[in-house]
Amino acid sequence: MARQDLERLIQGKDLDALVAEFRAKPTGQHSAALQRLVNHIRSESMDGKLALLCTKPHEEWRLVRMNGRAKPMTLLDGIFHNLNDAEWAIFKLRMKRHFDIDLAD
Amino acid sequence: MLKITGYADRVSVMPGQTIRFMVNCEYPQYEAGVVRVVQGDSAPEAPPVKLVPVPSTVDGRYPGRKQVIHAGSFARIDCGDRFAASPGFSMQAMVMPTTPKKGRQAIISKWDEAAGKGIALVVAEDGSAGIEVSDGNHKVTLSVGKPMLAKHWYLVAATYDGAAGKVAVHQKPQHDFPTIDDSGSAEANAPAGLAWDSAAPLLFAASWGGEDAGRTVGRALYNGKIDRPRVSTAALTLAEIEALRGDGWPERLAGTLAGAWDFADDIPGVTVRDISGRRLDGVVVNMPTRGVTGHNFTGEDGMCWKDRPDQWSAIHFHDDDVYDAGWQADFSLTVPETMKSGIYAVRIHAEGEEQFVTFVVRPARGKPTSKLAFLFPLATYMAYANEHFGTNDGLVELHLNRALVLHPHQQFLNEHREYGHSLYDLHSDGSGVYYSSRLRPVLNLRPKVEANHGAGPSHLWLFNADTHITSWLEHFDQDYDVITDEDLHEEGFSLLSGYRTVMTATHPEYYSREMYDAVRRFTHSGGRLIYLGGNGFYWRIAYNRTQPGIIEVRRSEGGSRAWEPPTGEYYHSFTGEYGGMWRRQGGRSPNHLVGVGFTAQGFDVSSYYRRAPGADDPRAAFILDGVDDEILGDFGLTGGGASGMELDRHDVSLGSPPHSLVVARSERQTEAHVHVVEDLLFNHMGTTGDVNDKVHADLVFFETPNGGAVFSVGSIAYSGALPWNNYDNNISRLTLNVLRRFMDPAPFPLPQA
Repeated sequence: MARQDLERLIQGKDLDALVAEFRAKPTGQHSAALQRLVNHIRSESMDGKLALLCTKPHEEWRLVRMNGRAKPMTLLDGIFHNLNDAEWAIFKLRMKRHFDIDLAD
Repeated sequence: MLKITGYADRVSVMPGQTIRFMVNCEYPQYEAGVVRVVQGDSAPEAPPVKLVPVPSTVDGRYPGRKQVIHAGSFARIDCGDRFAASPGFSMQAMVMPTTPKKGRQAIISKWDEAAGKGIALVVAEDGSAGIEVSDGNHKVTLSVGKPMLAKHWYLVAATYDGAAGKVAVHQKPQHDFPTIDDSGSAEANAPAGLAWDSAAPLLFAASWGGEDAGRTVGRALYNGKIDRPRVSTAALTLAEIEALRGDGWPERLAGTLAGAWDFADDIPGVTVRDISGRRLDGVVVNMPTRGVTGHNFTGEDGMCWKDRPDQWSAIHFHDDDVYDAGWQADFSLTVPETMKSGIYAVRIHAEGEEQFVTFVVRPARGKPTSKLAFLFPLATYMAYANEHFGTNDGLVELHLNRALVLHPHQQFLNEHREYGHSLYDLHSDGSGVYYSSRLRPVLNLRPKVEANHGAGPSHLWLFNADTHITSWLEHFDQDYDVITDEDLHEEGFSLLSGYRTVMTATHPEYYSREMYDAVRRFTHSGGRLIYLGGNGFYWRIAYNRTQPGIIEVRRSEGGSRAWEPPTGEYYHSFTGEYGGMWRRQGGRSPNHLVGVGFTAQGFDVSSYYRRAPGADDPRAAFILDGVDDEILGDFGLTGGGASGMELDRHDVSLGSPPHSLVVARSERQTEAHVHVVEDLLFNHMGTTGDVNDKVHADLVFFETPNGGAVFSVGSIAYSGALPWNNYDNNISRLTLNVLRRFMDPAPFPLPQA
């Protein structure tokens, strides 16, 4: 089922190419297929959503999992010093979570 | 987690006045001092942070102490122990519980939590109507046992017969669903003669948790509406209870009727009136929502509470309402006459943690100290105060089109809901937040703070983004006064009349009628207005006429909005004015005022403007004097471009003056920038910036009567471009051209008709 969802999102486009596109530029205008894919995986509810907590302004961000309204977030392994690296880490975790796809760096 | 928070009793203060500061500090001691805020952006791409220390009487070291907020609204009636001799007691109301499964919630109580003594009509643990009665030793509880449905109306009642030793509870739904069993009564034996009464106040929507530093503490906080509560000094039958639910009552029950409250009396204020003749009037605490539909609202007899107050005789209480945190003051500042008008903050720091309480020194009334005023958008800051965008709704990430980055104050606010909400949030029961107060720590109104919505590299939104404007002004040695929305609301046009030019912030979104009319009169009286933002002049708001520091919004009919009020709740409770977008309010769209109006929003990456034909009109030649570039603002601290976040477009059909000139227009906005819903009827596929021509910002100039003029940029990201390259860039240059011409007293002639 997850695979079918993925195919519906990327509509025959090459997944590797879309992944490379995201890795190169995680923020801003994407190709149509990549935008559909990221819209899907970013639609996670606040209960379980992967996010970042800024731990040093403009310098350091910590991976967190949100646990729903008013509930403390869970600090996860993963400290980043570049937002693009953090975006990429979240993307990889979500590709695993939503489609059971392991992506290498 | 934050250990220092604070607020002041006012935001705008003039020389000679005193401002008091309230601090919560969990460290043993802290240092405090005043700084003038010039530039609060701490991103490495931005000019250095500039907070100028200002020696004052505040300077010093203070003992830290913990101060807490007791959130949750209720009504309080002080009546001593007047029911002590009552042989029986009955409590009843029409209620619309919104979280019946939350746990024990008091509807009507005279219950001392510490002593475990009193009597209360409650939503019991099982979600049904219940009674609790206790003399402190013997406690009796009983509930109907059939959970109430959330958001449906019920008659609920509880009685204690002290002579016969019986308790009873009743629950009767207003609507019968054939598959729902939620009607019933229960009765049980109880000790006779329980001495339950005490000096505890009678409360609606809470039980009494004692007093703390001058504040009444509510416990067992109730979520939902209460309409027509009554208490009687007798154990009534269900038939007698039903006879009292209306606005008149049989003579045979009037003698034991000890209180009957009409919440439609004083909807704009804070009193609750007893109409039983017993004069048990009270007050609401923490501003529950008034002017809400009651159980008998028909929709056929008018839509405003002023039409038929009897159909709005309800109050919606929330367990997270907060008005005045009520903290003890730690220090104060009497503003010296020599203190220049500007944006200031008290900087509080201890053990490596830093906090700010921002305030404005405005000039004395009628005595401007500059010809330029920066209009500090306090109403909009209050609307967004302590917003929970990043912690309430997961779909925020689709607005951002980038990973959700949370900041320490948001982590704190997510877990400390008692700090109250913004006008973008939902209460814990899912209803929209109509009121926002500044009499509590506002943790996103401070320098150095980042936000979700402002894009990179700076990630600023509202106040801290607005320091890009103040730093730009000071870079060019332009003196200015600072005045706030609250001053504008109170003083109107006379506040502006002494200025040649008024400059807005990046996002002056929330306007009362008094504010809107004052700005319009200014621009029609020779004044010059520089609107340096987007999504401005958008929502109508109301200020409370008796309670300071609180605003209301009703997001009526349509608009890009975080919630919608239910039918019948489109009118402000504070004033009776119709709520909603200014563009729906009779010739007062933002386009009428500033030539542009909200058209799109998106929060990932900003774009640029391209010079438009209006730039070549001799009337606008001064704007791009010395700027030969075709492309303007393809850089910036907010999303990397001058056009982004929230955009306004020129549209004569919506009120833009026909003689207004479009000097530049943005293009190539990202797909994340979406066309606003108020322009849509049927939704369709083509609403995103990559395909929709209405997703753009217009940079507009026009002359106004009596030699005035308006310049609008139509983009929140615009001001993030001003400091780029050490303030040397085409956006900075063109803005400086406008400012200098606008500060020149030579009138702008209106073009020939």
